[in-house]
Amino acid sequence: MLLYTYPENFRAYKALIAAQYSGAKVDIAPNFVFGETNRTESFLKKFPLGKVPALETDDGKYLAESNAIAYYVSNAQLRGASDFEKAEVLQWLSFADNEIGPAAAAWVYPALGYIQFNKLSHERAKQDIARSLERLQARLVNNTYLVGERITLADIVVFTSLLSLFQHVADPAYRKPFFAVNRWFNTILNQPQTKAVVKNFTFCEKETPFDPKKYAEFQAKFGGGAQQKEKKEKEKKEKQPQQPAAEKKKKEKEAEPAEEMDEAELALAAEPKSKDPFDSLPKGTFNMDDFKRVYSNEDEAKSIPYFFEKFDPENYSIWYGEYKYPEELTKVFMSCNLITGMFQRLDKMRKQAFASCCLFGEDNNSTISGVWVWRGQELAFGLSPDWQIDYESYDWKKLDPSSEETKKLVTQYFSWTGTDKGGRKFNQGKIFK
Amino acid sequence: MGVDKEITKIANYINFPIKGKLSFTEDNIIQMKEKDKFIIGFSTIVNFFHDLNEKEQTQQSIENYYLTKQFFDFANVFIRSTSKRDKYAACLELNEYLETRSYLIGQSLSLADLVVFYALNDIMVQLSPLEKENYLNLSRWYDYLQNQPPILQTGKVINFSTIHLLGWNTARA
Repeated sequence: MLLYTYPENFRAYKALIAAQYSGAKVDIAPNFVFGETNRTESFLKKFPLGKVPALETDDGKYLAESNAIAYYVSNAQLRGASDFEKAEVLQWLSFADNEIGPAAAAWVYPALGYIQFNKLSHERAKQDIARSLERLQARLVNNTYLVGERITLADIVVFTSLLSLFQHVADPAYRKPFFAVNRWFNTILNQPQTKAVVKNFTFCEKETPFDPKKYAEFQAKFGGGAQQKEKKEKEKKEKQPQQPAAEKKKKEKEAEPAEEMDEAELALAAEPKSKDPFDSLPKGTFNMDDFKRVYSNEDEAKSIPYFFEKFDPENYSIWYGEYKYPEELTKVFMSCNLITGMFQRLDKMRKQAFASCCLFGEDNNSTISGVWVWRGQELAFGLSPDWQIDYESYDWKKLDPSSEETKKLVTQYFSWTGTDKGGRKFNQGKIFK
Repeated sequence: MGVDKEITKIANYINFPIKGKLSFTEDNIIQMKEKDKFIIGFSTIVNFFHDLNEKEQTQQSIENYYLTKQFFDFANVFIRSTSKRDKYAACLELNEYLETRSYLIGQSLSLADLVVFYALNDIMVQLSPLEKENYLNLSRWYDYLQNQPPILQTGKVINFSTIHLLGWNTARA
């Protein structure tokens, strides 16, 4: 039997370890190049999705999906003794795919530089994995293996799904409470059948931190919108206090070789690319990200002149928006929620837009108005149906970028000073960036 | 379970013909007749099996070979001790030892597991469900071994259900 895979693919490990137990003869297809071989017509004819691992039997049958392949090359012991045990094996395979898999990817991939680091999903992934480990612990406190009293495919598959976690991100302190899982993991790891397949495994001593450089390299190689990503990354960096990226581990190998990725990982890495409605408009010379960075990091005395210096009036426009129904505004905090809610609904607009919205006055006597900047000369809200919820509640006035009046207004709103037309004092401001 | 029975079971497990070879000396020490000679004493006999087993399937490292012998003595001296305190100390120690291990030696079954398993039988049948839960890791390991038919042979399965009431119920039945 021929197994198509790139090296050190944990999904292929399932079948390879199972074959060690059953004695099934599984050879790894020689000269397989990920991204090339699996794109060829002859490969796609056999495996229409072009995913690996993929198995070709001696009598010319084809099997995709790692669990199915592993099941096929297993023996009776690995599949489970009774009907119920077989179902239990299946239960753990699904557990590995649904409970461990996605969270493991969210935690490990940023560490390997496949995807952008995100603090929120990082924390959530850590919690999710802890929950899965608790589940495993509950079983393994009372039992040596996951199903029955023998090693089964369940052990092999769950083990492989934990490999990258235990190697790259789950440090000793994190693993410590799950003593039964550790005991079991060690046992599976040290079975001769596993050792014949999984080489070079070392337990994580210290969580591998996200390395923007590695990520950038990876994106340059594989990411479709590499440039866009980089920009986004800069933006993120400025928002989040820098993680300890400075101290890069020397022993750490350079970016994972390209072949390490399979389709699923690539799909994850490439994040859903929803089209940016601003793409249809010319880019111009004004760099929104640069301006936002200056605005966040520098004093207004610097950032506002910077804005006028760099502003590209041909491709960008400045707008004044005023809330139409100030008489309905009551509590200040509710009005602020109105603004932030609008910002949230306009999330996809952020990349190419900037705004400072201010609330003037106090409870039961206030107004909302703001100065907006975006790409293009028209009201940007027409570009996407997602953006049309709030804008009709505002009066929009396009400002002449060259006039002194505009300069004054921009300065006032960007620096959160002054009063509204009715003389109400500035109360609170919100920045859309 | 008498030592003769334990030795018979271990012999069965390694496929060593034992029929009619066991007897006791005048001092009531077990002995086994092997090629016109007597091998005397539990530890000696088990060590004889150990060497036999090693010759047939040498997979253990030297370190594990001697560690296995150590467990034979442990079973003989502590688990089979007449002092109750020794016995429970042995259980506690095993329980701790098994927290990080699935087997006593290395990552697979060895004669060390078998010898300790059989020696523990008398203690395990007497443990209350609550005590079994205190020896969590030991119980897990014991339960694993008794679920291997070649090891259990004619023995009775001890209940390790963590559902207390069920445990009590079956213990009384």
